Amino acid sequence: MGAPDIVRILKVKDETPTVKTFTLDKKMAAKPGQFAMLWIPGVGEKPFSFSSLKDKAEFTIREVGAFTKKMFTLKKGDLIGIRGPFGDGCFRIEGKKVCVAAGGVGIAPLRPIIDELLKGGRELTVIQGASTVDELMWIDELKKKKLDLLIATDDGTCGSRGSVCDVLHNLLDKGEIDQIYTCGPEPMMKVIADLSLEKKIPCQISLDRYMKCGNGICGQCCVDPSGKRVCKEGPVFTAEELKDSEFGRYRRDASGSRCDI
Amino acid sequence: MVDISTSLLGVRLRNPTVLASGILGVTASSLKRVAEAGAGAVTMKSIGPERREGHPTPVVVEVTSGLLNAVGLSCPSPDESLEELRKAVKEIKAPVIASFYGRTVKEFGEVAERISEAKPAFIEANISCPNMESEYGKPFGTDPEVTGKITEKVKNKTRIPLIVKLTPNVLDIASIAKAAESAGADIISAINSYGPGMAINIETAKPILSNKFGGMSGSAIKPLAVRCVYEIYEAVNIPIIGVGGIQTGRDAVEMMMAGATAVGVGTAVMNRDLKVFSEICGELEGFMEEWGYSKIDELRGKAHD
Repeated sequence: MGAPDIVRILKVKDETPTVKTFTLDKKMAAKPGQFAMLWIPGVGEKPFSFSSLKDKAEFTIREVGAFTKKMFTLKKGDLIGIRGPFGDGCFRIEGKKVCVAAGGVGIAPLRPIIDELLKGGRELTVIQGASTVDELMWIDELKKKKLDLLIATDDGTCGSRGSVCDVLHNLLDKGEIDQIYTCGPEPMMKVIADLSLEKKIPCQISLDRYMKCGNGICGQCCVDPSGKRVCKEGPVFTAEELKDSEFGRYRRDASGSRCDI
Repeated sequence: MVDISTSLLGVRLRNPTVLASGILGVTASSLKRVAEAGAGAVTMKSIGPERREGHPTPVVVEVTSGLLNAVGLSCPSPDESLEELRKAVKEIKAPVIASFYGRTVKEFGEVAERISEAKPAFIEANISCPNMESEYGKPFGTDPEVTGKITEKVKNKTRIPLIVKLTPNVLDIASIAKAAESAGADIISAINSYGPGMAINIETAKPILSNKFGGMSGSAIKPLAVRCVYEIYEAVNIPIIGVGGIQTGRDAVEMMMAGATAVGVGTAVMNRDLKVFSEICGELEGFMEEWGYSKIDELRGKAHD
């Protein structure tokens, strides 16, 4: 559990009009897919997946609510609290012909696994989807790597017009993908999970739920019907584990009430 | 072979460990998992008179030998809570305890009546949350008279056996327990978290919890909890669920020797995860074998003259 460590922000980088990357003066022995709780005193504490594990802890964040709005006002040299890393269920290195399917800022937690997958000389296809060309991230960085990059945008301003799911569908029809990694909006991940089950291709999913303690005791992020904790047994689950669960249907808010997805 | 099963008012618990309220009790599926991990009984997180989000995060922070929490009694609407409770009662083999609270004596009665529809094995009146001072006044459980009134009100509204959970933040916990017993309480649960306490981050000079203060649980409060249970055992004749800082089988033995019939386990989940229940049971059996106890009843109150 721990208490927050206070660290300085070393760098803030604009990635897209709505996404920034924060580099913290903290080295953490985290694994791909794991997350930390970030604390802004007087504002709150929220879970974020690591977007880089190379040297200093990095978090790539989209502005979506009160906490991230405040986060976006923080600058180099400002202080922030961090505790973690959390999540025993991290991404596992599997497969030989692998596909990473990311929607929006969902590319962030997948970035560390991309490097790990390439180390083993795997054939890797990365599908990145975004609403529009300006929201795509790390395209130059990805193009430099030994992987196939496929892009989909909702408005067709880059790559194919449409969803990550459509691109993946085509890829699975013609390819020999034997492992899928995904993170993005839950409806997208649900489609991908169903597709993977149908095609019998293992799929690893990074799931997001409302968290309070972040370390397995409050029960806020438990998934029905298994009762598994996203913060402890997750946040990465297999499509098989999430089959016939609340995944893609509902989640719980701060009160514990169910909310439709 | 030693027998670690116990009985609370005729309800059999296969072992004396009880998942304490507020830990992993938000959903039925989570409670089921805890029961499958070995808990003798499980407590659902307190149900209140209306939907509440609780305090903003951070709501927990680890401190030396324990945990401070100010979750703030979050719960879904009564309808939704009742649905979740029904599911828990239906699907879980171990006895389910339904914790609840109200903002007034009358509301305690109303919520008790409502949750009784789900027929949990026990209902547990949370008259002792330490984090609700501004909105709810001092915890009800600091006043013997109010404790008695709530107990009486609830007993008039339900036939489900009533556990009254006490706060340790009083001068004379035995008198509060006696007031609850006289008013008809069936079981005493003691103790809720201590304090409240506080943790300040010194680099930023800010309190860590958004609520500033939070209830203290974990190993640090175990001696205080053991003393409370010891005093209550001397004062009342109804069973006691001893809660507070239990981490090991030896801690459970100590709590039972102070007078507990069953033992609550909460913060220990932070240190030993879900296997804490089966591990405590294994340690308890080991102790009993080594020291020649065959039944759990032989431990109860053994430290008393």
